[in-house]
Amino acid sequence: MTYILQTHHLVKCFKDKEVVQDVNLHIKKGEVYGFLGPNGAGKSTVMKLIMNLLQPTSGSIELFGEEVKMNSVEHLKRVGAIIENPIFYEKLTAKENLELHCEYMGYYNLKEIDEVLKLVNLIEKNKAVGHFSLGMKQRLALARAILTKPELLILDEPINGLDPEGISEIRNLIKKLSREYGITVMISSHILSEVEQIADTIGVIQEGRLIKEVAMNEIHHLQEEYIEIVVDDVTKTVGLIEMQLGISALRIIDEHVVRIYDDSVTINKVSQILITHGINLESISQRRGSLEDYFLRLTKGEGLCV
Amino acid sequence: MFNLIRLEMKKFKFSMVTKGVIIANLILLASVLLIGITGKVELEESFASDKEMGLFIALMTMGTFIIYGSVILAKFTVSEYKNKTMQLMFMYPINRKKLLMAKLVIVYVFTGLNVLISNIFVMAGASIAEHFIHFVPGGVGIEMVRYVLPTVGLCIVVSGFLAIVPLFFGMRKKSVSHTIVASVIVTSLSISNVGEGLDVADYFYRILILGGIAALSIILTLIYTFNNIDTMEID
Repeated sequence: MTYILQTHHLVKCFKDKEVVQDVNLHIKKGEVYGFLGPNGAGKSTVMKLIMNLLQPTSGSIELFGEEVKMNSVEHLKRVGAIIENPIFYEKLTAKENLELHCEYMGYYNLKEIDEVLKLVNLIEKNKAVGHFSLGMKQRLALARAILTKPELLILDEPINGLDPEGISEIRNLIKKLSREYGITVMISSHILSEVEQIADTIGVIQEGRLIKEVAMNEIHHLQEEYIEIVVDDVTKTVGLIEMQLGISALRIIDEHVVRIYDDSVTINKVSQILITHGINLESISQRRGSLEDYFLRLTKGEGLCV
Repeated sequence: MFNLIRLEMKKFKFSMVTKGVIIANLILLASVLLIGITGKVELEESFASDKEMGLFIALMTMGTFIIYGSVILAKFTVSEYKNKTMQLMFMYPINRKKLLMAKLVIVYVFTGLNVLISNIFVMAGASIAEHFIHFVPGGVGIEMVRYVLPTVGLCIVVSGFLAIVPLFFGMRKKSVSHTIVASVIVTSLSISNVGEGLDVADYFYRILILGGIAALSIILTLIYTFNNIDTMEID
């Protein structure tokens, strides 16, 4: 397995406060890594550490197989990034900003600029960036980050300030960049639904700690459909279902709630059996598991509940 | 390095500065003429000789462009920190020391070059005007140039340093106005008139000492900054 970006026991303190604590990230080449955490969890700080804008208090960062040293700049050629708010030279136009970016990056294929602006759907390229809305700046920032065809894209909340249509456009674009160009993407967000559709791996950070790093295909089963039954007597219910329907894919959630993970059985059938056997059925419903619940539980520190 | 300098100039639309420089030169020439003509009208010469006029011009131009240089420096550095574009710059695969040097070189060269050009322009302009309106007793001769040449030469070399010094004050508060105020103070220290008359030797040594202090403090600051710039954190 080749990792494009790894951090080893990364720690960052501001004064006495440990903002990042012992973070070990593992980002594989070519994947989309969703970096998830509530506001103030340390997402931006980790990204700034990767981009050499901050120096780690201890621990190290390994990019493209080499350790990032405090004066190394060469690796930055292969990285495109948006950190926090999109920053531009506001008096220059969108196009001038991108031209400048190309020159500083040492990238001389200026024809790409128009292409990339088209890709992010930004038409007003000859207007000073100072007059742009946040959404437009966000698009331009993305254009700038992908302009030089980097191997690694670091995007810090790139869909902030975008309208729903824009969000789905950007999401598709990221998917495309990853699938078609093989660009590795690290994308941070505090909203799971923004990244769950595109991420291959998700890292959850809270209060500076990476509390979970998990491949999406390992937790996809959480999205399975199930039937949730609320009854007065769980033990009897479970026995009945196992006996009568021959289903063993059951999970007891608490003393009143049972879930059936078997799509061969219908709600009607279950309720019929329970009622005929005198079980007091309060409710029965078909549901779909949500990753939101899973991560919510994680970030509340309730541990895993799979 | 040359490329970085070019990019800095492109980034801040340096071509716009040319306009300001031309205006500054015209105002300098106009004020010299105005002072000369006022003396003529009041029947009391403003300039005792062409030498005095030459020295006056040398000092005025230096003062003007020290402040001008500081303003540009503030724009190049302080405003980059304030607008957070420095974060952007530090994410480029470019040595941070070179980035900083590019900015300083532009300011140094800009200031020195303009002191030179402006001296030539204003002295030539004033001399030609004097030829027609006669406001300097004895007229203007080549002696004037010989008299002020060492001082002007010194000004060209040190004015760039004096323009950079205000940055130390401006960067503390990341404030453009702090930088400009500091540059006005530096300017008045170097060219203000103490006592009667204008003596070229006084100024020569004063500028030499101030310029030397400025150059030394810049070198020390650069050594310190170069040791720290790679680990400098931008938040």
